[in-house]
Amino acid sequence: MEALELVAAACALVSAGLGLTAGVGLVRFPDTLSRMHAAAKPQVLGVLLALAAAWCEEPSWGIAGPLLLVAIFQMVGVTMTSYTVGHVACEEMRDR
Amino acid sequence: MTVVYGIVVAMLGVASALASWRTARGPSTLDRAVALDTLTALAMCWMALGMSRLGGVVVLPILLAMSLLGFAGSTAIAKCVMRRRGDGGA
Repeated sequence: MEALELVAAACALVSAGLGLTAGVGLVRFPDTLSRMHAAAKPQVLGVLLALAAAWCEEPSWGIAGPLLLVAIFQMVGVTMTSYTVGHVACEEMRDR
Repeated sequence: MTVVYGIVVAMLGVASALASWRTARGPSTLDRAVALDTLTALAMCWMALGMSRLGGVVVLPILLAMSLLGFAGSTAIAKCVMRRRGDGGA
């Protein structure tokens, strides 16, 4: 039980750190494409680690099901969103 | 353990503030869409970590809904920008 709590705390720390890099990247990077690049990765890995932390506190199958569903939706959704936004941003940069 | 979660809350708070700043400032619509998507992901992190710390499964349906809605909203904004540009030229 103690080990799981430690794992949960580590996952929470890494997840929050990834969120922080997303925020800093959003503010500091110059154009839309690089901002999206900085923001997209924590959207997947940060959320996945937060979900892992949530599971580690109450490890049961009843919670694992919805959490897995959220993880799958997040991975598929963020990939598609990044693809679409990157496509549009790239066209705008090319036309300018 | 409380110290760790205090650090986590501080980091997530700073990240949310920075993403909100970009949402307010963002020069183009796409910047705002990206920043809002990041804010959605940060809100999901907030809720999952809060569930991890405080217990309870109340936020599970909210997490499910947000993982679907954030994706749909951002993609719809990008598609709208694309269509608006398509009318002008290209």
